[in-house]
Amino acid sequence: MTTPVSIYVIHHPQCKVAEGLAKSLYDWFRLGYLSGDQSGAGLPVYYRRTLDKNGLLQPEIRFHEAALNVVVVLVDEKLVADERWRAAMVAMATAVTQMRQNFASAKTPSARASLPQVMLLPTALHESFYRTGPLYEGFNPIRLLELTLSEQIAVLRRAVTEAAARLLRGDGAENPPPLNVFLSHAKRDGRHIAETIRDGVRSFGQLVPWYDSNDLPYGSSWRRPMESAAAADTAAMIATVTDAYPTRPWCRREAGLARTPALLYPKGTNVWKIQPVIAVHNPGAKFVRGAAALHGAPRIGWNSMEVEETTERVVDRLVLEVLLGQVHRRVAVNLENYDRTRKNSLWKKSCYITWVPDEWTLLKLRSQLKQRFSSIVRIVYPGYGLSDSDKLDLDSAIESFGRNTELVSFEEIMS
Amino acid sequence: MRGAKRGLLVALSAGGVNSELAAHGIGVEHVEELMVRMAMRLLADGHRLCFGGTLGDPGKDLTKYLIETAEKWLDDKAAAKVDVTKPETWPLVNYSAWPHSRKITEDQRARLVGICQFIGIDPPGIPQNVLDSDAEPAVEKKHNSNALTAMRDRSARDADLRIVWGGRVTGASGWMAGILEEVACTLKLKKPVLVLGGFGGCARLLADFLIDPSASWPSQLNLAESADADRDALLTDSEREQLNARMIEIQKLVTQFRTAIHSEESVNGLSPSVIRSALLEENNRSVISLAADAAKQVGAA
Repeated sequence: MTTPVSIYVIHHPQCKVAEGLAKSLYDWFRLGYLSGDQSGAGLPVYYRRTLDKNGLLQPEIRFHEAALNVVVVLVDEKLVADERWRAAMVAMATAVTQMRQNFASAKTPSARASLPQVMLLPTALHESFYRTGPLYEGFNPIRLLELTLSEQIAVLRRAVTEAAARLLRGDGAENPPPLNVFLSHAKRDGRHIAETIRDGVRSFGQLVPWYDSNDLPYGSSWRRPMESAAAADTAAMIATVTDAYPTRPWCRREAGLARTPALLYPKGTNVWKIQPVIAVHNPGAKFVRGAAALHGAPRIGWNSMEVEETTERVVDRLVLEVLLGQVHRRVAVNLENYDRTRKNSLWKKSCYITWVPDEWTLLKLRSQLKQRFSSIVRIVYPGYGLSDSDKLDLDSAIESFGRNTELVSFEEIMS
Repeated sequence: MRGAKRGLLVALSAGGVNSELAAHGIGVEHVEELMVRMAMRLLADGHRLCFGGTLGDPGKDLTKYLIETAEKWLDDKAAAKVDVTKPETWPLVNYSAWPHSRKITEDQRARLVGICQFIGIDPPGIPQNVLDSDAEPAVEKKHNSNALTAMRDRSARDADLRIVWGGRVTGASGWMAGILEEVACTLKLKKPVLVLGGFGGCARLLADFLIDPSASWPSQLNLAESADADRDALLTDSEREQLNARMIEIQKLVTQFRTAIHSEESVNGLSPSVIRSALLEENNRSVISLAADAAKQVGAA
């Protein structure tokens, strides 16, 4: 089973800045692997820092092992000045150009599906990048010149995430439809943060902020555009959770709509999706209850002392959630097909979900299944697996399906 | 508790430097992530873990994260068995060699009661008053190298299974590459060891030797790669001879291990097929499964 996305970071072995940037990309796409409580598996990231005696990357990149290969080349003066490395990167640029042409000229979807996609992202750390011939001429570079290290990390992270998300969302098309980002907030005490985030969203080419959906009565026209976008799979949400937020029925409805599972395809599969959501918390001085629908969504505290940085992190994380959602969908579809073709009797009794489960979304899934819920014995979810204490929290929700229903992770199935 | 019939003490040994791991397309962070993922799985299966070497410095992030992993991923049944008066029931054991063992504070030991037992290993035969006094850097290095050897021997005696991957080849602090010494200590005691060769480093050199019955001993696995002129100048002739003899013994032990894993008989409680598969596997998910299987086999023995 090919992996949906693999990320390769190439740089000269003596460039310490590039080594640090590579690590920052690893940390980002591996979802903070060191924290030990991350059940979600991030995206695979590999390095290429050596050349073999023939001047080829060691080990070679096996493009066919992933449906989409994102290749980031960090170009500093050492790489450009080193004859062998310069030649290797020119060869890479030429090879990728050919692969792109092959992909573009494939006549049928099945022919395209058999070809790996490669996205080459050359990154300029030094002005000598413009001396790299085909690498410069054939590809729009990420420019990290004259930036501080933290700025370089932020720019690189955003560029790679956005590029990969764009390609995956478009299923190979260069320009997929823009993503509508709903900014759910309570006007009473969340407007300022929501407007700041709105401006941050606008700086992303493929994101369109959708803002004026709040403080309207039930049944007003806001609902149809939001539901249409959700149905068309062009929706994501950033919820600004302030003290007033959980007290507003329409805020709760927006959060509920975003996090209610829906079938990925209307017929024939049992793969489920939810919208990517980020919750930005800015609690005040009151005792309030939380918004249950957002319990399992990634959350961050709003830092009014570092507005720009916090906004960047929120928007970047939203795009990462979009990217991960796309990856998990592909894996879920592959797993379901795998079970189906092996005539595994479990596949008809399984739900393949594309998010790490929490109580609220599991109960909603049960509700969406209607009478079928009692036939479900297996709920398959992304990642390495939940800890026993996390699973304990989900016991009631799982038992509501049936006594024999269990949670199984993608990794457990693929092992 | 899923997994083995009994919870084991599993020794995890890993490490490396970017320059040596680069040829395999990975860096130190790949090695570290596997450590965390492996720990999650083995703890959830009800086993205890021990680790040492550079992880003995509590200031290092990986030590801190392993401890957090233990706190979050401990199997509920195993957690219920933790007795704060009995360190042998705690999920983690950290071995650290002198002088690094001295850096672990009382505050840290106290905060981690019930989670991690810290065992400091001194160089054998050196009086406390000598260790407590300031020493020349070369003398300190020699004491540290001897303490590392003693630490590896101690962890091999305590552990039921050892799993190794990565590992520095050149410039190790001890007398030889740490992974090599740990494997040797384990084999000498006829205990099970799993060498994960897919992540470069010393383990990869060992794996290449082990998988091919006709392969020559890896030229980089020798004492010279860990030589330190100042420290080695302090060796007496007898000590130098003992060190060379140890290296020959190690080659013999590993060669005998190679013969055994190419037979069909269990090797120290592990099936040869699991050992051989582990030598080649590069995928995180698969090696974690192999490790869990290995623990199950040892636990059932």
